[in-house]
Amino acid sequence: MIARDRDPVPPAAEVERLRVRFGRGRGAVEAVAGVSLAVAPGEVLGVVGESGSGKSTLLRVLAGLVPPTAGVVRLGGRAADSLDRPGRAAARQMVFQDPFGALDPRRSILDTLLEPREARAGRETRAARRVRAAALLEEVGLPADFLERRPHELSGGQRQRVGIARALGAEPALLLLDEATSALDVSVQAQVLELLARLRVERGFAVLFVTHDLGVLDAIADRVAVLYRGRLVEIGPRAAVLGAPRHPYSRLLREAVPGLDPARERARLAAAGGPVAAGEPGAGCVFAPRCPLAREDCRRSEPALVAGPDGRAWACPVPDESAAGRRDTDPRG
Amino acid sequence: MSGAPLLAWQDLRLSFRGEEGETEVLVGVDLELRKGETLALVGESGSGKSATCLAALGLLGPNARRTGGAILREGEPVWAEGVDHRAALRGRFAGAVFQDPMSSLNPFLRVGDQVAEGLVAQRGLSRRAARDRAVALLEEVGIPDAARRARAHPHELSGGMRQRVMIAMALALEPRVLVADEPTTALDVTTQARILGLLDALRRTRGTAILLVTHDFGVAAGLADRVAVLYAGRVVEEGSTAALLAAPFHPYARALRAAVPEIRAGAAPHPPRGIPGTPPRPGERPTGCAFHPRCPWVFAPCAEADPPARTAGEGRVARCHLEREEAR
Repeated sequence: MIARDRDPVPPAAEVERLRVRFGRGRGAVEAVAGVSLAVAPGEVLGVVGESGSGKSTLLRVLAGLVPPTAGVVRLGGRAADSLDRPGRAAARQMVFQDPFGALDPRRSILDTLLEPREARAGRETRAARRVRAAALLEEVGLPADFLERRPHELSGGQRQRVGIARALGAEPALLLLDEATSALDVSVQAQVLELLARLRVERGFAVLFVTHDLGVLDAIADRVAVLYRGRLVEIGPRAAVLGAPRHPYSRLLREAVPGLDPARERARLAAAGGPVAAGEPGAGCVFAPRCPLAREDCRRSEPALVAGPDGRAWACPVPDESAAGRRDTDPRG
Repeated sequence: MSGAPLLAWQDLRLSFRGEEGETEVLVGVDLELRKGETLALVGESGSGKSATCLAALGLLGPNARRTGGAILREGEPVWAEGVDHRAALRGRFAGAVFQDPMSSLNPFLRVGDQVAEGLVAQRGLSRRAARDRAVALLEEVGIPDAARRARAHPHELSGGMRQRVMIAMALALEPRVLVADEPTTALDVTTQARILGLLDALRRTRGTAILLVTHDFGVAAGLADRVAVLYAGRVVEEGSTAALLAAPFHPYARALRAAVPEIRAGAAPHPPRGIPGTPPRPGERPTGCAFHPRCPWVFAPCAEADPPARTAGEGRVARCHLEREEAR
């Protein structure tokens, strides 16, 4: 297939009307139910949602680990399935959540680092490989003597740095991060976020950062996409979506992020201790059973994404006035 | 405050025996857990926060050895030389909830039966009475349709529901202390808030003291009355949650607070600040103040002398050579 040249700089990755269904018949689960979004070159797009939102499935489709059931997947403007292996490797690399499980325990760090570029490795001398691997380690802030070590000798944060260095080796246009910091202590998480912020400036890659924690996205994302039960419910610039979320589900996620003001946290926890709202969504909005603002029409038809003036789009027909009493959660208030 | 604290750690020193000999994991921990209060132990991996907690519960393995100090339960030593009173601490005195409910629950047993188990074994309830009580407990921890869910196996429940089951199990014997070791780390943020809210509500309705272990000040902020910050096997700062979070005194406490991602939604992304370097491995404790190699305010005495515990305001204790004024 020939590259589409409708756009001089195509998105680093793009999905259109993506659907992913697992299983067959009545037991089938639609993990992604018609999502369209794009990651611009050099952009950090944060994708947030709870378990079951489809965020990890979306990421796995882009990583080539899960086949799409329907829809279009493009990497660097070309259909993902038209790219050869080196082409896909250069288009995107993945960093996994669990730095313990993602690295092969038998391999030295040297071999781990060079694996994504095995095709090229054959034409390289041992010395050149070492130099390149050491340079990758240095980029992520680890000393060259780590090359001989094995994963079990490293701390969680060091392993995650190795995971990032390994991905960088392929010089990808896009880094796919799957909860890449959620298994780490907050102090180490902060180090890894600092590292990513520096590397994206130095290297100019785009990032798709999947997490359940909006707090992490405020640290790194340019734009934020909110997924709920396989649907995109809000997407827009970070400051807009986090500062004044429009979709009730985005607000719920926003309010769930713990802060450091004990008085406010006490009030928040007192409100959160009750039983979980249950109920399966019907034909209408999938969030309606949990939504504090749900109206009659919400249960009848599924709302479409509507673009707002500040570069965001959200899928909720209930006007913003309904949320006026919630101004106390606005961080600027 | 009347009577002795529920638990007191007095200059507790603890070693673990491993392949490379003994390593000291606690080097003099002084703490108190009072009746009905929530105390949070906050620190990075390897700070000794879990060891502090497990030592008090008698849940340490046979490779652990107390090398000094004492643990008192309502004024009585529980780990006296040559006598193992540790078992007495379990069950009725304390219940525990850990990070991963999947590894604590039996995958083959219905969750209701797991909650009922302790009631039959320790309280002598009949199977039927224990089962009814289990359903009531599952209801109390906010599991909807508890009678039906009691018949479910762990894998049929969500992570948040499993953690609620763990809490019900921990509460079944009406313990005085509920230990919650990273109880929300593996959960979605929305579920985290609900589980923390549940713990707080249970503390109020039952008067159970909570010993919370976490690496995240954000988790402690809403739940804990007091916070103790641990570093390299020692409490470096302790105080009321409100005062300590408003103005942490010890440079490590300050750094840990700055590492929590807070939403500001400003024009530019707002990355939390990492703490340079890594905590010392057990047995490789630096001289003087253990934090000095990572401390931005390090000065002459820090590498030489271990800073003594000093009062740093009302109910505040910190181990740091800095004077308060210098630190501001």
